[in-house]
Formats: sequence, structure tokens, C-alpha cells
Amino acid sequence: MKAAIKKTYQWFDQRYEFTPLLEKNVTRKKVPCHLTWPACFGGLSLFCFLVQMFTGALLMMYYKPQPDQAFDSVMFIKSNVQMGWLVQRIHVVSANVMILLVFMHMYRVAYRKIFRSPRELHWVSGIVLLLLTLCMAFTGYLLPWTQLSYWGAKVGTEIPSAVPFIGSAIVEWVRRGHSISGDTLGFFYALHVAILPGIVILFMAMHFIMIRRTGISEPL
Amino acid sequence: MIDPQSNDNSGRRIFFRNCLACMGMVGSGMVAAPLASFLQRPNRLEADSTIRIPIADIKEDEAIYRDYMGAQIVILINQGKPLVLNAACTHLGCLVRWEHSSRSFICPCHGAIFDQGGKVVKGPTNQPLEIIPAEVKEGVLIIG
Repeated sequence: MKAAIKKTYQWFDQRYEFTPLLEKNVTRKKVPCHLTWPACFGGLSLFCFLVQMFTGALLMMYYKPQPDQAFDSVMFIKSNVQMGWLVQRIHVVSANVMILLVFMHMYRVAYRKIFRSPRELHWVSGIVLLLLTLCMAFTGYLLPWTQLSYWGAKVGTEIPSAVPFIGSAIVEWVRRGHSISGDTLGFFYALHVAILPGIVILFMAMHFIMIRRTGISEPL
Repeated sequence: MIDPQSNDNSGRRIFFRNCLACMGMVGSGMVAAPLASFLQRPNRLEADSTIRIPIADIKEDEAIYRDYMGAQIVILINQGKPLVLNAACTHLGCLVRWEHSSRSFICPCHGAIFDQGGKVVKGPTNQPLEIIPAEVKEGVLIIG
């Protein structure tokens, strides 16, 4: 059994050559010895994002983004789908933990001045990722279509009205109308499950590739 | 027996590796078990599969289509009495459409025609539409 697995692995490895790649980047990757646990905040944020992708895909099987069905479909997930309550709870809790970790990651980077040259773009892409994370949380908050999420979305979409001249136009654009409606729900759903995750993955790729380019910061 | 004075920690290394493997297996089990049960078919609450329709609600000139035990059934008044038929054409199972002007059922797939009692008027099939047993109690049609 063990030999058969090894043989199969080697057959693929001879063709794809992932062992040297794996050794270089994971198993034999050298990291600075001064790194401590707070250096994990970024990686843990990524882990939370992966949990969100996974549980989110499961929730999408039953969630219906129509105003007359959204609430009932979430209740259906929570009470009728086996372990649905767990998947839904993990999605909610992990979203909150992700925001916390993203902020802790940012505080550490700011406190240790890791953002200085040549790592300015890590900071810039990181801030974009922070804002995208908050947008994901905000759009996801509306989806259960409860009183809390409705009024949360109402207050949240009110914020751009402070922009001079075009404020109210932005509000109406975000709400897809004068007030929160089924169109808002559909728009937020599309943003939450497709558009924002796509942009997040793009910026994450930039963020990670740049870190590999510059290496992990050494303290002065 | 491992000599406590020796620098060889391969035994310790193997022990920790096995501990890690056990934790990994327990951990993946804790993810896999809820996932497996989540992926079961959900139990939609089908409270009562019987269909009850007051006779007065069935109009002479229309046919009512309903879901019943995973099939589409059609309810109509035929010669003053309610009749329940399986709406699947007996040729290849397409759903037959009620045509009020000719009081007949027409299959959209291959043009089979059934009369209001479900009997074949025109092929390709020679089997009449299946009649679903139903009874009338106190002015209410009960199916199932």
C-alpha cells in the first residue's frame, strides 16, 4: 500500500516536478529566526478567507437571494439542513475573526515599521485587502434579510451621502434605488459571492508574490 | 530501550510525528463528518402529501395542475364529476397541456391528443392517461 502510494506520487512528480518546488517554498523554506507568533496574523487571515470560501460555497447551495425567500432559506439552512447551523455559524464567526486578524496584522506591520522601502506596495495592497474584507462583511450582513441586516444596510449605505455634490447619487447607486429593496439584495449577493472575492484573490496574489520577492522583513 | 544519555532523538521524533498524524486524522475527521452530513439531501418538511380541494374551487372550464408524490397531476371536471389524471403523456412522459377550446389534452412533444377523460384521440401512444384515485367527501376532493 505504502509502496504503491509512493510509486504513484513519483510517477506524477517525474512529470510535474513539484518536490523541488515544495521543498523550496514550504518544507525547506528558511524564515528569519526572530519571527514570533504575531507574524502569523496574515497567514491566519488567509486561513479565515479559505474557511469563508468553503463554508460560503456550502451555504450557496440553499441560499436564495430573493427578498421573499432569503430569510426563509437562511432559516431552512439553520434548522432543516443537517449541520447547516454549524456551517452558517462558522461563516459568521470566521468573518468576524477574519476582520480582527486583518486589523491585528495591520497593527503589527505598522508598529514594527515593516511597511518601509522596499515594502510600500505590501502596505498599499494590504489596505486594499482590508477595505475589501470590510466590504465583504458589509454585503454579507444584508443577506439574511432580517430586521438587523436591513437597518444595518440602510445605515451603512447612508455613509456615502456625506460626499459633497455626488453623495446622494452614490447612495442611490449602491442601493440600486431610493431605498433598500430586492435589487439591493441581488446586487449585494453578486458582490459578496463573486465580484469581491475575485478582486480579493487578485490582490492577495499581488500581496503574496511581492512578499516572496522582497523576503520577510528583518528587524533593524 | 532508549538510552537517556544518547543524543539520538529519532525515537522522540517518530513519537511526535505519530502524535501529529493522529491529531491530523482527528482534525480532518471533525471537518469531514459535519461536511458529509451537510451534503445529505435536506429534509424538506412535507407535512401532508394528501391534496384537498373544495369542489366549488374547480371551475368547469379550467384544469388545475398540482405536484403530487413527485408527479404532476391535473384536476378537472369531466361530465359534472371531478377527475384526477397523471399529466405525464403515456408515450414518453412529457406533460400534457389542457386545451379548453377542444376540451382535450395535447402533448407538446409528439402531438398525442387525449380527450377530457384521458382516452387517446390521436397517437403516437395507445395508452390512456393514468387515472389517480380520488374521492369526494363533504364537497371536498381528496387525493391520496
